[in-house]
Amino acid sequence: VSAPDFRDTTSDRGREVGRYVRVEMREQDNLRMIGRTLAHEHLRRDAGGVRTGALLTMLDNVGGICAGIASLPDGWVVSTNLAARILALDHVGPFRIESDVLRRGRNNVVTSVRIVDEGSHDALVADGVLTSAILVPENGPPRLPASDRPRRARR
Amino acid sequence: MTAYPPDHHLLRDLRFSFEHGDAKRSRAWMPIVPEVCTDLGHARAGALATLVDVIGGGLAATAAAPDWIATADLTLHVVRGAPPGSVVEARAEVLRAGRTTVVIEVALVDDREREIGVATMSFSALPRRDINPGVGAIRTAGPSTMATDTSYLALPLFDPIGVEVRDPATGSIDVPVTEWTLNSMGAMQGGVVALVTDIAAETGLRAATGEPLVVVDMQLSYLGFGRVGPVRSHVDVLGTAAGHGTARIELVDTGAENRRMTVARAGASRGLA
Repeated sequence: VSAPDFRDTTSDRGREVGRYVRVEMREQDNLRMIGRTLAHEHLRRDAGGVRTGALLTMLDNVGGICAGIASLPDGWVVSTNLAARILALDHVGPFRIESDVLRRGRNNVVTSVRIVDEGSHDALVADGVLTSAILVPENGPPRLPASDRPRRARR
Repeated sequence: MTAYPPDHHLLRDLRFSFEHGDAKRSRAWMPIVPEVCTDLGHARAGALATLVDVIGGGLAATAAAPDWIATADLTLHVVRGAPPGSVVEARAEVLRAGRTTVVIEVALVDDREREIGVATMSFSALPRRDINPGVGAIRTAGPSTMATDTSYLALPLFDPIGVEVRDPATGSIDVPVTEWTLNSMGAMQGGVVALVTDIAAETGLRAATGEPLVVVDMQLSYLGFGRVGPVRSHVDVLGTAAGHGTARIELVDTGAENRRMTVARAGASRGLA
């Protein structure tokens, strides 16, 4: 997992917040998405743990991409509801962020989202659900910058 | 279609009454009786969620008309206990009515204007079908009630909804789908789903902690209807601390090849002021 680079402000348009948490994603079978990132220093509170807002951003990143892929080939998604419980306030990292499609409807996609702390014996850090509305953009789904594009898991 | 709800129905026995404002606001009242309370002596979160679901659903249907709606998710935070003898008022407001989604907020207050809780609901707009009730049927002018002269709860909610505890450690309970708990689409009513979630979470968290915890907040994502039953729960305890617990709850319809109905998260504590 690479450290975030904040200097480049011209690329990654539309994903400016996501770049701060810098999640590297990998697409699995069965519409499953796995993200990994470090518990970066710049995301931590004074007390040491990663800020809840940053954890929610990670959930939204991975759950949103998972939902977006489920809405292809024509659609893409916007997040409409993210509800999560934070179970641990002290973190070691790296984090693994997992998302699965719970339901793909005509208008929305519901994905489960969770974060575990790999540096703390996979302790559950956050657990929630992201609901995303499906949109059909006139010019098709967005072309993600290479840095945000999920990779396929090796079979 | 036959009139909904039928004469003998949970929504009548809870003795809800309503007063609808403009197209963006509605109010409803629920008298708190011992049968809707936990053993700690205040209204069960699932009972409050049923009130929220009914008033929110009716208002969302109005906002989405002529389309119909399906509940997508419900979040409820309870901040104060409502004891028997009090009346809880639900004040619902449309926050957003878009092409595909309606969002409703419901404030819960008691008869002394103290905040009992707050809920948010999202609904998906669906094309209207013949079986959907007309908005006029669910939104009458002036004060109204679902209760009849014979509507009341004779037993705590556990009993009439038919809860069978299979395994407290995993929060596994079975609840049949009966006419008494159906919604207008012929499936388990959304508030009842919240009630089952509440009871399952309480069962699992009490088993995990040995403490008399009650659910004080819950978030439900509705994924599919429970039409056949019995509806079965499974609870994963996510975390516990002194006087508190958090759980993930999943409901499936065992009569429909274990189709996943709902996933939920609930927080429980030793009680409320």
